[in-house]
Parts: sequence; C-alpha cells; structure tokens
Amino acid sequence: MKKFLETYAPWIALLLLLILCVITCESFRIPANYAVMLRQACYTGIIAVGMTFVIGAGGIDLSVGSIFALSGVAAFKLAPLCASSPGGVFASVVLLALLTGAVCGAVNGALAGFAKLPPFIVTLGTMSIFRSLALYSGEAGRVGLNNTPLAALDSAGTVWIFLVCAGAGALILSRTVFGVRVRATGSNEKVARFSGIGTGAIRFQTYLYTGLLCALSALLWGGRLGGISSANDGMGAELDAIAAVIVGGTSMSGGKASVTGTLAGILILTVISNALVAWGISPRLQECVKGAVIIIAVLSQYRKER
Amino acid sequence: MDAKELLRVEDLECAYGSVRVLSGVSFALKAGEVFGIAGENGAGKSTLVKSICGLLAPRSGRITLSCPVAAIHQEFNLAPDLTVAENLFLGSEITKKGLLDLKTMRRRARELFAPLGVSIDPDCSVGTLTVAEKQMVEIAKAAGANAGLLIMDEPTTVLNQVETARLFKLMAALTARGTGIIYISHKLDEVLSVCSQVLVLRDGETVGCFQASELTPVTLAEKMVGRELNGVFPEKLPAGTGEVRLEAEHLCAPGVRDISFTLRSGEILGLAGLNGAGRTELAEALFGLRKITSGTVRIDGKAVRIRSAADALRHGMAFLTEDRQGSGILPEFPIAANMTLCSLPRYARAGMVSSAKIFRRALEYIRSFRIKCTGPDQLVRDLSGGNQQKAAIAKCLDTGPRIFIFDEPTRGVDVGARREIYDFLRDLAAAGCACLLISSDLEELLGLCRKVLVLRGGASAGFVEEKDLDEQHIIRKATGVEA
Repeated sequence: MKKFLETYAPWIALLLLLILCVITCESFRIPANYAVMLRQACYTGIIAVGMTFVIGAGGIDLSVGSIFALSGVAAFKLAPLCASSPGGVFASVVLLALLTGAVCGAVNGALAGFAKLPPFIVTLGTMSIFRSLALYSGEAGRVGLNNTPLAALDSAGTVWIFLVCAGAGALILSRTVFGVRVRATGSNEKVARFSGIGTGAIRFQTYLYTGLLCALSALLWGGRLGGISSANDGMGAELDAIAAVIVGGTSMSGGKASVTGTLAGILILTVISNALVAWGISPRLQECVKGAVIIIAVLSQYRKER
Repeated sequence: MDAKELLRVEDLECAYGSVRVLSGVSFALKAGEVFGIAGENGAGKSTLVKSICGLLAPRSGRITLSCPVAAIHQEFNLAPDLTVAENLFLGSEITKKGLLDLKTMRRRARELFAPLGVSIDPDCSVGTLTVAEKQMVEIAKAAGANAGLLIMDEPTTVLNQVETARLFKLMAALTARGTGIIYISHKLDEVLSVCSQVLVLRDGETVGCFQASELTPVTLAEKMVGRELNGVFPEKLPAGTGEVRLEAEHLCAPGVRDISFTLRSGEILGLAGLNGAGRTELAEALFGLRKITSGTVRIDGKAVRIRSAADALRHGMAFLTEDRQGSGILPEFPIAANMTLCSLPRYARAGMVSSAKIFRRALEYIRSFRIKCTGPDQLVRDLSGGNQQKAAIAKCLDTGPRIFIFDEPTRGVDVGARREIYDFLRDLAAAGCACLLISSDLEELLGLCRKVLVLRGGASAGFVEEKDLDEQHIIRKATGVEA
C-alpha cells in the first residue's frame, strides 16, 4: 500500500487537482478544452522525457530551450536552400532539425559524459552558446516556413507523437539494459563503473537523446505556427522540463527515475497553469505557483527519505 | 581515590533496522581514567562510540554523561578545503567584533600542536596534509575542545612509533587534568599499556570488563575471539598445481610500484600489508580501474591490456570491492537488480531485460547463499552487512569469473556469515577459479592461503611461503623490520 502510494503519488495528485478544477471552474467541464491542454503539454513534455534520462543518470540539462530554438531556426532557415520541391523541403526540415539537435546534445554529452565536467556548468555554458547562435542565424527574429505537412498535424496527432515518446521512454528506462544502466549510473557512478558500465557513454547518450527530443519538439511547435522565434521560443523550457521531472518523483540526485511520473508531472503543471487563468489569477503570479509546486514536490521526496 | 564519575552506560542496546548490533553493555568511567574498549571488527565498538556521542539513538538502556564529549573517529572528520586553523576551531570559531580572529586562531593552533611535536602551518589547507598530519589535526582538535571526556577510535593506525609516543604523553597530560579517555585500538599491547580497565566486546555483547594489569595481549586476544581458531576456517585446499591463470610482471600504476606475482587456477593467494600499502591500488590496477603505467599482465599466458572494468569482466575477472557502499552495491536497488548488474545483457533480448529471468536467478543465489531477505525485490539497503556482502559476491559471481579478487571480503560481516564466505571462497578455488585475497585480518590470510604476498609502501615486500606462514613473518615484512 505504501509502495503503491509512493509510485502513483503524482497521478493521485493530478486526479485530486482535476476534481478540484472541475468543481470550481466552468472551463474544466468542457471536454474540448482538454484537447487544448494536452497539446500544450506536448511540447515541453517531449523535452521532459529526455530530461528524465539526463537527471536519472545524475546529470542536468539547462540548454534544452536553446537547443529547441537553434534546431528550429537552423531547420527552417536552411531547408529552403537544400531542396525546392515541397516534399524535399519537408524532408530537409526534419533532417536538419534532428541533426542540429543531435549535434548540440552530443556537445553536452561529450563534455559532461566523457570529459566528466560538471553538467550544471557545461549546460549553463551551452545554453548561452546555442541561444546566441540561434539569435545570430535567426537575426534575433522569427524564421518562418509555411506549408510544411507539419502545419497540418492536428491536436490528436501531436498528442500521439508525445505519448509514443513517453511510452517508449518509460519502457526503455524501466525495462531495458540501457535504462537500468542509466539509473545505476545516477544512483552511484562509482558502483556502476566498477560493475563494468561505461558511465561516460551512458551519460553521453542521455544528452544525445535529449537533444533529438528538443529538435522533435521544435519541429512540432514551429510546424504548427509556421515558424520559430529565435529570441522567445524555448525560453524557460529547461525550468518547465526540470519541474515536470521533479514533480513526477524523479530524484534530483539521480538513480530513482520514472518517465510515467514525468508524464503526470507535466500534466499537473499544465492543469495548474490553466486553472490559474480560469480562476482569474494574474498571469504574473503563475510562476510563483509553479515554484511553490516544485518545492512542495521536493519536500515530500525528502520527507519520504528521512 | 574518589574521582568524579564522568560516564555511566547501563544495559545499552542498539540496533540498525532489525539487526541488533549491541546489547547488554554496561560500564562506568571516572575522571582521569583511560578506559579501553577491545573487540574484533564488527564487535560493536564504533556503534558504542556513536551512541555515547549522541549520533545514534539507543533502542534501550541509559547513557549518563556529566561532561561534554569530544571524539576522534576512525574516519577523518575534516573539511579538506578549509585551512588547518579553520578546521581546528570549526563550530567554536574565535571571533573579534563579528569577524574571525585569525591571529588568535593561529596562535592557539600552534599551542595545540606543540605537545604533539608537530609543526603544521595553520594556514595551509587540510587537503594538502599527509594522513599522519591529518590525524594530528584531529587529535589537536579533540584535545583543544576542552571536553571532559575524550573518545579515541583507532588514533594510532596511521602514526609511527615516535608520533604514537607523543600522543601517549599528551594523553597523560590530559588525564592529569582530570579528563577521562576512552581508547579503542586493534594494537592490543598499546591498549594494555595505556588503559587501566578494558571492556571486551564480542558480536555486540559484553564479554567482560577487566583490569589491564591482569591481561596480556594473548589473553586479551583470546577473550576477543572467544573461540579456538580451528573450526573458523574450512580445511585448506591441497597446494596449487593448477596452470598459471594470471601473471603480473613489474607492474606499475599510481600507488603501485614494480609488483610481480603469478596466480594459479585453484589457488588462493593472500595479499597482506598495512593500510595504504597499495593492496587495493594493485587490485584496481589489475581490474582496469587504475591506469597501468608500465609492466605486463598476462591471462592464460597471453599479454592483455585492461583499460576498464568492462575489459576486466570480458577477460573473466571479478572484483569484490572493500568499500561495499561506495563502489560495490546500489543500496536503493532491489537485490535482483544488484546481482545482475554486471551481467545484465545476458538477461536481455534486443535490449529488453526479462524481469522473470532476473528474478529466478536471484532466487537461486538467495537460496544457495542463504541470504536472509523477503525476496529478490527487497532493497539491498534493508539487509544486514553479512547479507549485503553475500549479495555483492553473487553479483561478482554472476559473470562467471575465472579470476576472482576479494578485497576485505569479511569486513563488517558477522561471524556466522563469515564462515559461509570462507566456505564459498574455498569451493570457488576448488572449482578451479584463481583467487586473490586481500585482507587486513591476518588470521583470515593464515586460515585460507598457502602463500601470501606482502606489500609495503606500494611495492612488494616479498612472499611468505607456506613453511614460514605465521603472523610474525607477515608483520615483519609489512612493517619493514625484515626485508
């Protein structure tokens, strides 16, 4: 029973929150609004799936928002130069975004994984570097590209892509050799290394996959809006993603990590921000509530451990 | 003489989780007295110290203290990045107008070091000191706390004879002022020469409280062990005639200088030496965890280059580390996940791990090693030390090793489980595995090995062959009395 509560705490919290919202707000009684909310959750949610692996392996990635912007800008700007047919442009957009995301992730992974530099410092640095590159190549403005098939992707399609990512992530983290090794590395790097696990390579991969997921998220976001803003898009995404992971019950110091928890975490954060609007609370106070939720989540974790 | 009573312990009982580590301990300590506590590893000495210091709540019984306590713990409690002076006065900083009074702190530091005969610069950071100097800082810190009761847990392990003599002089000066001292050491002659009374613990229970004048090191050791040496160890295997499995030739690595040896299939080669002699460093170099700078390692006659633990596992090696919590097991993971951590790909198809296979394998180990647990899903942190060690051994064993390095396999393991581990080691060797046994417990080496390699200062101090195999020969080589 106790274990059940521990495992499903974020889901129970989500359920209670939803009940409260349905009782107090008109807008939560309209089914169509849930589709909107789910779609909102997808973009950060996809990034948070990768972040769960990074944090689970004992790292952190502050550069996800910048990778998001840079891979979007690179893809939308360069794709029309690579191909002329609509199909060719679309293929180039996807490939360029994923390539940029992979390269950014690989840079983080090489420095934090193989060179063993502190992940916080590494990604603090690359956060500035990638954002600055995005601003430079996007001339600090919006880089647009219309009429890609991505624009036709509806709410359901986006949500499905997110759920596939989350489902695959959950399966990989809990049931594969790689997943166990990620958690072992986060739980105690030395034990993992003494057990013959290449911990540098494991960490490298977590950053690489997170880079790819940032790019995927940028594709969905930019495709839907017909472009991406080099200055604003992805700003603060790292905090939202980290918040979702922590609220989902993943331990900040690594080892204990759950993608399904992260899924609940991102839904909780999305419901809260919608509820605040519905309750008529100033948008300026939203961050305040978000901060409080994170602290409460961490507090409950620590109390469990004592 | 009617000195004030400083400490009274009555019927103390302590436990970690469900494991009782101390029960029925009672004694009293008067001002100006040096009181010894003796016992084997795992007898409960450190637990007793922790509960007197208030770091561990006893399950029952009473501790009455009539003065402040300062303690020198077995592990260093120093902040390596702070200076010596900052460390000495940590928690009781000397201030003037709200700022640190560095001048007074420096002067007080020199005053504290003077009786110890050391001249350590109060402004250098503790991380740059040698172990002996760090120990001196610990001693000075405890002495400077002006506590009525001072607990010293193995204070002389890293000190040489001259430094030890100075420590004893300081202790005499402190007791003359009425300070009470609890003295814990494995060096039994030291215990008997400085203490008036000795409390002997065995497996968490009191054997008795004795006048030091009535004991000799031999009788004290008997009381600590409480049993004949026979029966503790399984019968030795016949002398090794198996083929050579592992060969090291002029091996050099950080902390290891020019070490050569051969290890045969079915042999248990002992590796002895004092703390810091390079035993663990040698094991880590062989296992690819420390960079080998020169020399060759051969497995089955073929020269190999092992650069990581993964390489070592591929070559059929296994390494049971001495630091179980720090590098051996994952306490927050279930037993089954720990046992299969090194050999995980074997339980997977296309990357997907089969929990059923892992569960079954863990169950086999739990049965064959008689691990006391609720099942393969139980977290390792909830097991006792002995059962944790058995799980750690199962983890190493699961890769099917042909060369097995044991580093302190019975550290923190209770007596019952110890015999089981010895039996396991013997059976493993009997089945043809080549075993290297690192141990600080000389009896263990004498009981299991036919040959012991002794290290000193990172280099080989020579082999002790079967005909000379006794404590004296090993200790002489380890301390450098005999080349």
